[in-house]
Amino acid sequence: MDGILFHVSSKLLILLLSISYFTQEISCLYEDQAGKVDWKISFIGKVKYADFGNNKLLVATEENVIAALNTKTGDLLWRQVMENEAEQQIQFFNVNKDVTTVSGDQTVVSYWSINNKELIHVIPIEGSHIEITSFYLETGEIKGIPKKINTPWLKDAFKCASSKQYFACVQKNGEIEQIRYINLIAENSEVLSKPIEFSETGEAEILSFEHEIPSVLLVKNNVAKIVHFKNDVEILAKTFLPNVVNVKNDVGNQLYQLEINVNNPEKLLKVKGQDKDGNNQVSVDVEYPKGLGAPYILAGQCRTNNCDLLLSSIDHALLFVRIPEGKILWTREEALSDIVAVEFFELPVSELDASIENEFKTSSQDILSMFINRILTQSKQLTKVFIGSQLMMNSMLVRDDFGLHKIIVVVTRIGKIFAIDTLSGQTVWSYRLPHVVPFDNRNGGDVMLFVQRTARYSPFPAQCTLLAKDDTTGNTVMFQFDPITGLSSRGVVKLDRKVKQAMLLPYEDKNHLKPFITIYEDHSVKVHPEESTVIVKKHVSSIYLYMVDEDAINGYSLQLIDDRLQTFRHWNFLFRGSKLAGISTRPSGERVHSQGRVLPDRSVYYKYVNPNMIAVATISEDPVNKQVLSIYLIDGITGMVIYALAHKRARGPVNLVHSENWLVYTFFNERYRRRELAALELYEGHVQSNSTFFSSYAMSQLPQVQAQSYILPAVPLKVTVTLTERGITNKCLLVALNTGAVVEIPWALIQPRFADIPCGPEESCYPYMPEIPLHPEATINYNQTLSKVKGISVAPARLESTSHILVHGLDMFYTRVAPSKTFDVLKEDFDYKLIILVLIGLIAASYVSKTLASRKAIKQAWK
Amino acid sequence: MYLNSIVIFLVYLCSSNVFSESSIEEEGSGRYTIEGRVFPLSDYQIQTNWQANTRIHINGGEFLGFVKRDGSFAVHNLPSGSYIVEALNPEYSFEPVRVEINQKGKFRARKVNHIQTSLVVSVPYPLRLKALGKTRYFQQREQWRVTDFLFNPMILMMVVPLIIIMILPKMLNDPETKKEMEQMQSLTKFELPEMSDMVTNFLSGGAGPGTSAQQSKQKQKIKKRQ
Amino acid sequence: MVSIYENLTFLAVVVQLFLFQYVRSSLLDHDGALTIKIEHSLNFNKGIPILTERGNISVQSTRIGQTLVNQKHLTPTESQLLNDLAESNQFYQIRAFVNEEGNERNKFISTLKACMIAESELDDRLSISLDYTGRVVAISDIIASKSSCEGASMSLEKLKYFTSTVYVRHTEMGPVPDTASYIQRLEREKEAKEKGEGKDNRSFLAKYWMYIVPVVIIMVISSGSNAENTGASN
Repeated sequence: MDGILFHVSSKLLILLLSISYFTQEISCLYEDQAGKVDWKISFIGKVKYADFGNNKLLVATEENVIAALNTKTGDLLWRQVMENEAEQQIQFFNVNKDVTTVSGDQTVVSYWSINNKELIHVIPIEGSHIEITSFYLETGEIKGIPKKINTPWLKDAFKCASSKQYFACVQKNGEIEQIRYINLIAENSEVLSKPIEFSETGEAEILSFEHEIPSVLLVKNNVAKIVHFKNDVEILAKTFLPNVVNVKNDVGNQLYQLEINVNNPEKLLKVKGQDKDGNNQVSVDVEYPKGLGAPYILAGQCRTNNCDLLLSSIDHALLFVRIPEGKILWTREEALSDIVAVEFFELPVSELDASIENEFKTSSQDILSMFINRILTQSKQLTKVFIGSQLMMNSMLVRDDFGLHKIIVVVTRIGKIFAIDTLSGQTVWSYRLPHVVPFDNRNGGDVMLFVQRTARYSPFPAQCTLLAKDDTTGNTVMFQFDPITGLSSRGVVKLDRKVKQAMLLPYEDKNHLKPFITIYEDHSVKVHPEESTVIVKKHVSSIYLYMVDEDAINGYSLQLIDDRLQTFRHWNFLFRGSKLAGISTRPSGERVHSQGRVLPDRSVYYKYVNPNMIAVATISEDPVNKQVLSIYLIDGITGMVIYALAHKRARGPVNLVHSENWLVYTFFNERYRRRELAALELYEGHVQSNSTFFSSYAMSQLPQVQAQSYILPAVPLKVTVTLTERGITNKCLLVALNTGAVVEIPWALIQPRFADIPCGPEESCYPYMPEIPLHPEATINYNQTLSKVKGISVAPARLESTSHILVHGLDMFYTRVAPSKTFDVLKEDFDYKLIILVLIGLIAASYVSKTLASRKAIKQAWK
Repeated sequence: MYLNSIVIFLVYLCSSNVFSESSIEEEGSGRYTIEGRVFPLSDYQIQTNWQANTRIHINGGEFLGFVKRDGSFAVHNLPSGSYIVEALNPEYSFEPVRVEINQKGKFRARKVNHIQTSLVVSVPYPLRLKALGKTRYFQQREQWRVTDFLFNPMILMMVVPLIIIMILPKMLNDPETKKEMEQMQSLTKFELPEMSDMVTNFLSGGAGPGTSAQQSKQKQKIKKRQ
Repeated sequence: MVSIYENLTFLAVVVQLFLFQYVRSSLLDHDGALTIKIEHSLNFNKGIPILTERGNISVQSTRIGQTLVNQKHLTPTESQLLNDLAESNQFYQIRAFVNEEGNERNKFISTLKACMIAESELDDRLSISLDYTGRVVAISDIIASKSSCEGASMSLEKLKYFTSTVYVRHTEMGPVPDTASYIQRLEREKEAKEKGEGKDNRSFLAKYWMYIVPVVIIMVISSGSNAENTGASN
């Protein structure tokens, strides 16, 4: 009976499973789950213009964002993301009653509501020379006809500035520099000029300057003078620093500038205020955070007895300083709006767990000492269980059972490193690398971030290495740090050469540290740390790498010549004349769980899993087909082109995703004017050539390629794939769309179907649909729009079902996804009460029935 | 009316095209504006400030437009070509529209169909973008219902045997039901062998013995009433 | 001096010999010819290969992959060098110089394990990959083998004649979304719906068996128990 029951229930289970598999492969969210594990932080980018208005701080940034900030907390009140900053820079920003912006080459004047980012009106302006268009801001009506001004005297347009109705430029006639200006609204506008009297040497520059009186700032050799335009031009005698800012208060105008406080190491910054003649001086020392770069003033506002200044540091942090207290009210780290590298780190085990692990590590053979050791450690553990653990879990970064709590280390374009807690989204530590910028070569992304040791090896701290470019010399800098604490034993190490390529090796030394190699322009190879050279020499024949050059990809192996490591060119691939549109390899930590695919006839179709495969996308200009996209699958060791295909009349941008035995890419189909997504899957066939290991040299047969293409009814910005610990969980593509949504697409939906095999629910196969359905339920960030996504990073949790996701761009969004649902943990809404109730009920029922049965038995006996 | 309007003077200076007068002029005439209006779902569902949160994406963000308070929008400076116009709002879904601007500046708007690209379903221009509905990002949580609970296999497994074990014997003990049961048994006993006959008869086309069974049934019913 | 090099000429006509399940149409619009000069290195000087001539390949038609292979023998000293490379598990490298019609000369490099080419008795495969216009993007020398080796020694007799096979491999046409059959399917379904309005033409039993079976079982069980009861009461 038991057997039958079990059989039935297991069948039922299979039935239920298959139903749930078919209907819901994506992990949908319930409304009450929103915000439980995910968090979003919004940024605005480097601030270009700032102004106060209506108790708000209004800013326009280089990311082409206009935003309003709360002056008390620095929180974002609203944000309006405008056009692509490369084409449509904001060129003018004014806060009056509402906000006016002028942007773009094809100029558009927009007028925004100060309270809720609503567009009040927009005026396009066509024009090709200096032209004055006056219009009423509130109605958007253009006043009169645009007035054109002849500008033959303009020869150096960038040395000009405008201030209200005045437009001024610096002009050089031989040795004499003069300022030429024009009143644009005057009836008969005429160009006037005035010679510059400046004792400093060097070229004069002109900067715009906010003042009641139309004025500009004349800068020469880092010394600034204020120029007022009234009836005549007036150059004030008093000199200032170029970062001087005019703030109006009830007394008059106060000019603020920043100086370094040499005398007080505690308070590094001195804010100096004075009027235009240098009177009424105030000087306030500010405790400036040491991690930030040098500041400059963006804007200020004064009330009766205090003033607020908005500062920006050169590493894009925003600071809000209140004087005369000299207190920093808030800071915003806008560097995080441009992240170039991301890595997830497991946290170290708690002290308690470490002591348990250490207990078995001691190698002493003496029974007595072992016994004492055991008693000691266990008593320690016991005290910790009762006293310390709760406190520790809350205050410290300690590994949890499922690996859900991690540290994300992000490197920003400006050269600042942040460590972020996945649970709260808070910055654990940050470190600024001065004068460090991303590489500009074609190899390995913007910066290189290597995880040399994770926190798994308890007494040793985790170690991570960043390679980037030194801004001043162009050489490579190396920064090694502990990702959990941010401590660096050596600080920034400047290498004396340019690193062309670098690679982390999979071999560990005795301290569990993975060495990495750097390859220089002259093809010499260096191992870091140097002591590990022995290990590299031992494995020299199995180290291969590739480098991307101008019109070729070259494959190299390492070789030992006279006991020195060198690269040896192994193969080459020429894509001359074409542009490299993308290159991708499989995620380094990826594991492939299943060796093949079981077909409905119960035969196995073995996957072609080549860990060395490189996918390359190139775009060629073609006279007939406009642009042709070519995709090549190349073996990274032999350089053999495993498969090549081309799409005619295709256009970039191309996204390549490469995982297990498949490749997915997206592009724009010019012919049908739609985005397409194509999937390639490689199989060895029904016979597996070698089940134990893979060798690129042993190529008995080329893989069989299945291909299928789909229409993607959206614009993908970045595409990636989920990654889990053991690769058992189904894979999902994560597609960041330009609408601000990040959508999950199950791999099963786009896996190429076999032409001769039926496809339906019985084969657990989705029938082919040419257009990929994008359900709003598959949006992992639900209604939280993510702007200008620049990357999606994925890392496995220790829980097989779950992946960590960090989407970065103008917003930073973290969440966890479970493509096959969380099959390995109880649901969070699991009803413990019900199950306890049922169990108690059953126990009670069994006792009741027992007594009833015994009573009945007695009655029976009495009959 | 214009008394308190502020007049702003704009001097714009594009380093590239300040001096080249002729070439830009030509291009400038080939620039068009896509106009339209966004309609929210209905009055009572409108979130406040929906206009500010709605954006117009043209060709997936190549050009942008913003919505004014009255729902209208205009995207300027577009060269002639084919564009997909989408209204984006985090709370509502809209259908995209394809707008084609030919060389002469003639506008044509149609529904977006990626599968049958040649199929033209025209829509009026200037565009009228209506919200299709509120976007459902979340799955509905299943509500606890008595029937669901009762038809849960676990509960059924417990309840059905309980009924069979506990209640059936009780019912059998009751003399009246006993009698009824006996009648039922006699009935079923009477009827069961008849079933095969019935079927054969039914198949052969006759209706003979079936009627007798019905008669006996009626008799029993009469008995019971007495 | 009598030439000891005896030119071996043979014609290898290969049209996509590698197995592909679906052979998609080649993208090549126009045919072309290639001449490839192959050099190989049998020993290295401080890591720099010393190149000697191996032979010529002329691809008469890139479209159908018709090739003419013309390779030299290995002299006994060369065989010995190759065997030495194989024994010490070193690399064997070829360099191919491609002359395309109206194009510049391009150099391609390919490297493989010397022991593998020795084990295969100089039976290698040259794969010439073309892009969609028919230009060469890569040339690889490979050995058809199921496993890789870690050093091998062969009799020198067997390391004399190259029996190379040349594969000219094209870039295939990329997949396109199959909208036509999908539209057809939709239309078929629509028609079927219009015809039958979702008529379920399964038999009564097939449709409701899950209700009938329990009823029958219960009836059988109850009748069985009744029979017992009646039997007992009788």
